[in-house]
Amino acid sequence: MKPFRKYRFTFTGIGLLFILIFLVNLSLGSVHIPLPAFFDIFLGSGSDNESWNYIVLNYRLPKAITAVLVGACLSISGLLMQTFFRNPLAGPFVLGISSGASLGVALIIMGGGLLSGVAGSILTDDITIALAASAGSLLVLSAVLLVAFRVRDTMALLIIGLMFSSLTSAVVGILAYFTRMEKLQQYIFWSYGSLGDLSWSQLLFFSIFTLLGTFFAIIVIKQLNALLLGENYARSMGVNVKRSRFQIILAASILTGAATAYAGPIAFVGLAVPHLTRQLFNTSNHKILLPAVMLFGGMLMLICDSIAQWPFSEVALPINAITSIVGAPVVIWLLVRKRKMIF
Amino acid sequence: MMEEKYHSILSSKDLVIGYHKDKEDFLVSRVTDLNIMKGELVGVVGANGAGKSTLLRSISGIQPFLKGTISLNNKPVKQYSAIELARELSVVVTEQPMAKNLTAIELIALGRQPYTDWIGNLSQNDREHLNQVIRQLDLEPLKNKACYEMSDGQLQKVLIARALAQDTSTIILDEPTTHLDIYHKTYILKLLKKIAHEHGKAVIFSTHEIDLAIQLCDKMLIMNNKETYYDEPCRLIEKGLFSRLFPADLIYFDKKSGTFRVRK
Repeated sequence: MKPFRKYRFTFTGIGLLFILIFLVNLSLGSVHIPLPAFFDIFLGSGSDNESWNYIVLNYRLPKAITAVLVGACLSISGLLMQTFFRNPLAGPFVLGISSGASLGVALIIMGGGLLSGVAGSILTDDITIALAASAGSLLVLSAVLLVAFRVRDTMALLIIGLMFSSLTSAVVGILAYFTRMEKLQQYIFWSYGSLGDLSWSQLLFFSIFTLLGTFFAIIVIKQLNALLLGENYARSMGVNVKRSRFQIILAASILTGAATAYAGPIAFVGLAVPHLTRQLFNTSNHKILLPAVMLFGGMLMLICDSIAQWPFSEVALPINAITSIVGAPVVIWLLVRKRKMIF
Repeated sequence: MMEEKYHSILSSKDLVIGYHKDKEDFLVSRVTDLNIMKGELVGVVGANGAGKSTLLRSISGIQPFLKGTISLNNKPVKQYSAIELARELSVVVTEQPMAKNLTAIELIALGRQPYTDWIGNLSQNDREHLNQVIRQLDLEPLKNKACYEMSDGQLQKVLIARALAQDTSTIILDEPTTHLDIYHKTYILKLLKKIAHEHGKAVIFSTHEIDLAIQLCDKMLIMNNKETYYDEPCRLIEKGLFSRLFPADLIYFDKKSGTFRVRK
């Protein structure tokens, strides 16, 4: 009856595990920093080695925070989509929002090259790419929202989302066909995803977007729980279904848009994390699931990042490949083991 | 109490139900003026496509109707806000809840939504209500079972409990007996009768179990050929209205037993 009390110990455990993984992630990297020195830096007293200070505070810490934010954003978005579309296989990619972001970036990187040389080179810095990704997400989001008001059926909306992503990938494909080799390479690198390129000021904007999206998710928790019974039941219990739909889509779009803009299209996290979370938190109550998926998503991204960073070597694998390698088997395992993903 | 029992909860006047398509009105049925009292169990019967669901959806505000007024407690339904209506009218629809992992108690607790705060926390009062409903419907053993572990009959009972937890004067159920065997059909209908009589609610349901409805309902609404007839079951039998419900080539209505028989 008191849902939080029931899961108090689980939350405490997950919280401690989260902190541990966060610290492990920080202590690992291409440059080996001895553990005592690492703790000195982290606890504020600093190390004699200036470059170690710099690496931990201005490279690894922002990267770890980015990982947590990306994981949290995509996981909440996935949870919202799964309840909203009544489909356990729904995720942020389904609405085509991630594809929209990709289209924005493709237009800047590859489309910019089609303009003349000078304009192209000015256009392709980091901030422009982030802005383009947000604009792309917003474009597809607006289109989906317009359709959402006309189509009452959520399953139809799901398919429309898939069509939007096909359309945007087609446009990206055409751009890729006509673009120069180095531009194509730049786009492909972006699409691998990256957690490490954010400055503290970019991180601040990312955090603001995350908070905004999470805020919209929190205020629809009650409505999400009602929607577990279906739209007719929700309506009969006084839920303004139209407004809730709008808020849910808005929250999911802001969260996905922000994560994609700042870290590239990250696959499978949004889909897999809510299911992993339900293994431990055997509930459908969004009041429990929302904070739980944030923690889980953050942890999963930290782990994936630690793997991608391949400790103590120069090799950094693309994060998107790692999340797919971790995420896809998880989804397959869940499908095989539970046959139907009940939620 | 007697006086209370006979006051009208749900009424309609000059009601015409139907739907809007391509800027045209499609009439499904005209509805005779209804006056449903507190403590009455009302069964809505008719052939497939006669408009039972349309009528129930119109009454519960899910679907707009073409003409006339529907009033709850002497106030037109259209003047209710969503939350006010949710406190006066609860539904059990044919669509299955999508979250099969919900436990009985979680599902029933959702019925308290019209009374809970912005995030859905249950107050002491809400919890007392829930315990009362669980006691009344003997749901204690089912309480912590998830929906996917329940039989159809158990799930239907839990869904009815959710409507009861919503603490409304009217409960509307769309075909609550489909997919159930004859024992559980009877069980559910008797439960509805108990809810109507003992809790003083107006309970309106649609069904294809005409025989059972005749035995259990206080009033029945027959929907046939765009017209409706509303009365006590025995009067409807006397008027021979059940006989006209279906084409006469295969079955006929036996007035004596109050059942349909196959033509030999």
